[in-house]
Amino acid sequence: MGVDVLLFLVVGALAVGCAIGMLISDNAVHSALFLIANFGCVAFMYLMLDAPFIAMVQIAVYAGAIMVLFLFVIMLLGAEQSHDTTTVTFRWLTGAATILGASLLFALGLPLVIGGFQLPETAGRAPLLRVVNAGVSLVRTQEIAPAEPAAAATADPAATAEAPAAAPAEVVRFSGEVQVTLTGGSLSEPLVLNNVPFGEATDFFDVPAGDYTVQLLRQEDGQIMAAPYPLTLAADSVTTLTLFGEYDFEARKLLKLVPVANSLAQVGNDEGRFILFNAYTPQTLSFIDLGPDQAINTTTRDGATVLLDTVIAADIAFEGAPVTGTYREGTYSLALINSDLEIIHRLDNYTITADTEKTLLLMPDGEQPVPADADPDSGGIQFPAGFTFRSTVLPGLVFDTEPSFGSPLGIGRILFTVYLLPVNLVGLLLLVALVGVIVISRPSGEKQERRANIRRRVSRPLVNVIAQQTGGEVTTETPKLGSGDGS
Amino acid sequence: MFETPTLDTLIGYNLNVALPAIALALGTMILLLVDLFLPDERKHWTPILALAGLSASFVMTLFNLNPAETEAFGGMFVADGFTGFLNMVVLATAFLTVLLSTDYLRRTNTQHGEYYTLLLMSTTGTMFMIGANDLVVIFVALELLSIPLYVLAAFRVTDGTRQAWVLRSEESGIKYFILGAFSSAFFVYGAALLYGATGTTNLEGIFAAVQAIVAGSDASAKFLLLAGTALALVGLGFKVAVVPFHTWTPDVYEGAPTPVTAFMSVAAKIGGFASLMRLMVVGLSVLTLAQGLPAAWQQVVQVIAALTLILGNLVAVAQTSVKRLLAYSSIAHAGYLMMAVAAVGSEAFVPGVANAAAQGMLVYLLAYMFTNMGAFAVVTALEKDDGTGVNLDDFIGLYNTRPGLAVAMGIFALSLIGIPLTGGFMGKWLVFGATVQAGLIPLAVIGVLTSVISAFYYVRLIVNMFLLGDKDSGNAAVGGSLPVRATVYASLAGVLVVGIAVPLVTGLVNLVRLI
Amino acid sequence: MNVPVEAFVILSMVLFTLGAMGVMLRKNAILVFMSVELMLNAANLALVAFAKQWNDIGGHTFVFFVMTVAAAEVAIGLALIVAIFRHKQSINIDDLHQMEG
Repeated sequence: MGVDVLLFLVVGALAVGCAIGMLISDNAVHSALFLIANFGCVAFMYLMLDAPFIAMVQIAVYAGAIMVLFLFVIMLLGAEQSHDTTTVTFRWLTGAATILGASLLFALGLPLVIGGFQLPETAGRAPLLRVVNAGVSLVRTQEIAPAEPAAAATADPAATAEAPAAAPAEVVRFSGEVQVTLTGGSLSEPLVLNNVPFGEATDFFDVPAGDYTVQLLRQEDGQIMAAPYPLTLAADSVTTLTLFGEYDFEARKLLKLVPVANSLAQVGNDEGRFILFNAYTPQTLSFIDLGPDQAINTTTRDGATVLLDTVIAADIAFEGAPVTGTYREGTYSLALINSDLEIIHRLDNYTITADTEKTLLLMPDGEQPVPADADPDSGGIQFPAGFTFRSTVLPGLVFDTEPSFGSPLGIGRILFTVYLLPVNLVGLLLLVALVGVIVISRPSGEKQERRANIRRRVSRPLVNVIAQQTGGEVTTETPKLGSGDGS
Repeated sequence: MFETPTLDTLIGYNLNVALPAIALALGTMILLLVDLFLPDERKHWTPILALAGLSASFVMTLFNLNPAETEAFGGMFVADGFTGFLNMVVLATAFLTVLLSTDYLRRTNTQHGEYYTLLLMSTTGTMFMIGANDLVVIFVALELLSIPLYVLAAFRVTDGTRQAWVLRSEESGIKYFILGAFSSAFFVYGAALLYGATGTTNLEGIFAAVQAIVAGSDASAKFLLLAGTALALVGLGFKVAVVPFHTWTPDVYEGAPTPVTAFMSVAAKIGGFASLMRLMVVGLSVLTLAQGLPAAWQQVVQVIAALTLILGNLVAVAQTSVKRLLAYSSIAHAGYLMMAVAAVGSEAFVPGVANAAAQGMLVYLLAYMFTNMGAFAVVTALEKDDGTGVNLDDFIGLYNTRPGLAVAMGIFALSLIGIPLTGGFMGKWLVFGATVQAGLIPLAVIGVLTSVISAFYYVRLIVNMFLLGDKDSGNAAVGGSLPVRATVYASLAGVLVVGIAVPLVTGLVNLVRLI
Repeated sequence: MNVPVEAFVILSMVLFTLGAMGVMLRKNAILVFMSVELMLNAANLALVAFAKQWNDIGGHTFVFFVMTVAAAEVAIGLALIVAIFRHKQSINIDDLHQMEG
């Protein structure tokens, strides 16, 4: 028996025991305390069910607010003294109620019993898709004219590409908007996303699972921007479709968009994402974690040299499609190696932050001023000549992951979007409760007189004051603390 | 910065079709604030503002009767013809209740502005419940409908004195509250089981999932669905007071202030039956045990309807207090409405019966609203300040002192029986028609028989008013102030119009389609 | 996680039944109301279990609403109970029999 099962049985038995204790206890305060213990056990159950937010709300609202209110009213009314002849006496009502209760349990439990204690098979959640228009381009002119200054990547998403004709490579922004069309799968009509602006990501939206073809058109004139891209969406998956671009500097136009799908948005919250471009060297690169020894570790197996260090992203081909990878947060020594397992460039003390996405552009050096938005986290590394490793976090391209299941962020998001109407209704309900409580409990009639009375008798014991407020009599036999008579 | 919904998203939510309910909610909050700042000598403006708010919402409903796009709030709310029609009925109910309450509150020394706020909040809850398309919204709107009614039922406690009637009002508030909370716990558990079986709380999503489950062979899912339906039925059944969940009705109706009882008897039924109808039709109409059978829940609903009809009508015969008599009569009428719900179950092999039953229910609720509001208005007129004076004996000779009220009450009684030319007859005609169309002949026979039985106690009322009593004796009807009389005659007009102008009414409801 | 989701649903059914029996059997109004809270809690547990089964966070939001509604109900209910106590000095629901018939 696993620890989980044991824990469930113990806490479950405790919950049921506390519920029974609440039912049969004579003293109302004891019943309330049993109920609080029951709520605590249920909160533990919520934790076992991956619902941390609901568990905390249970403790804070149910056990913390509602039960405190109950205890307050019980003590105010002196209810713990009431002699409550309940289940201990055998009346016909008890039998009837027990029979009803047993039949209720039977009726509820029958589905599971008949079904062999198996809940229905679930088809999985519909896939989520979002489109990110990154438009980053691997720009390469045909000749490399040396030492001419070039414009740097601008942070302004609306700026059109500047034309430093001799720039060896740079980041260029495509300023137009893109129309994305999905056809296929089980859609009766194509799903069209209009006006996806540069540097922005759409929200996640539900798409039925299936195989699709993605077509990309420029919004303003309908020009086809990319070849049809096949995309498969499976249930329970979270897919991000990032659109990168290829720009022809001389012709000064964006040649095409290259869509790349990745499922990075489903990563756990403690991982960072990388997207790597190689415009630097014709070799195919890999991005690895050197490990604590900060050196490449290899071993020989069957005559071939095998890399032992963890590979974050592999096959970063020269001027090829961007490659993605994820790695957990922390500070590492990372390196770019080529296929001969030589270190091209290393990054020591590189910090990976959770829930961020970094786009690393490997470009040859030029006399380029560092752009304003460049992330100065290279860690003070000396770059080798002719090489600039620019790690640029392009504004607007740092995305949140899809919140993990049961997290407050996930619930908060859905409360403000899908469940907007019930949230507002609950707000109205709380207002109603506020008004109703005041109306019911407001002392009517001799308001002024009561207030004057209270002010004069401030030193009277609290019980007398409360009794006067509620209009009741003060009983002389108030329970003495510590008398040990159990009431 | 947290990404709240953008304007595009909000426009995509299609808020304008939910505008009547939203406007009423906003109006209620404004009313609360205005009432707070009104000086004492102008406190009578509060009911006038409440009436204005209700009228504004009514006008908005008229403009929204058949919108092009009916879904709002991302599928949580639907504003089709069904919603629009019932919105108007509920707003009329609230309007007439406010008219009844103004003088009553003053007479019974419970005049507080919050009364109108709570009443309008309950109306808002009903309006959202009518258009709810999701289990979550049904539940929250159900609570928004009920919780102000718990307070309003106990409203006489704000009187501050300790008269007997104040105690009865408190008791009715507590009984209503405990049983209401009990029933909403059942509803939540039923909704949880439905969610567990289908994976969604949206009614249309449930429909799709139920079709898949029924076509499949997963027995445990089917039983989960059945259990969930049963519990949801229990929860909603409490609200509309069908047997065996009716025990709270006589005590609560008798103890609560009469205008509140009037509102409760109509609005709770409208909200409850609208949700029940939508749940059964949109969500669960295909829940059959095998292909070609009627819905699995139809048998149970039939039995519930039959028991309600029999018990409601039989026990009413023995009542002496008119308020309790009307309480049992409203239980019986819940039985007739339950017949319409039972008829929906045959949708699988009698297509179109669901729409016929829904249309019958709409007309029935309209007629029932006018009749009940009118009857309770007459009771309000006769009721003394301490809450007594509404036994059957107090109606003796009413024709001599207040002929107008007596004639009106007579016609209301006839409508409750279902005599032709009154609205009640139209409602019963359409509901019985739908039941017969669904093939539930025994149930229809029971319905007709119990209508005949109900004649006994209504006719006794008519006899008391017209035939008994001396020339000059008879009730002075101290409560018959102008608003109350206006309510009586407006309801009378409503009952007669619905009963006589048959093409108008049927033409209106023929536009309503639930599936 | 070795514990099957069905186990949580069965636990919630047991708690729900216990709460229902408490409502039917107890005579102290406050205890009746606490039993109703137990029932609502059991429904919440079922909802969270099903949410885990279907991997759908809509179950958690439903629970959130149920909790808020329960809080509002508790406020109103306790206010009503205190109001009736003021007049009758008793919260035994057997004493609520002013109206018979």
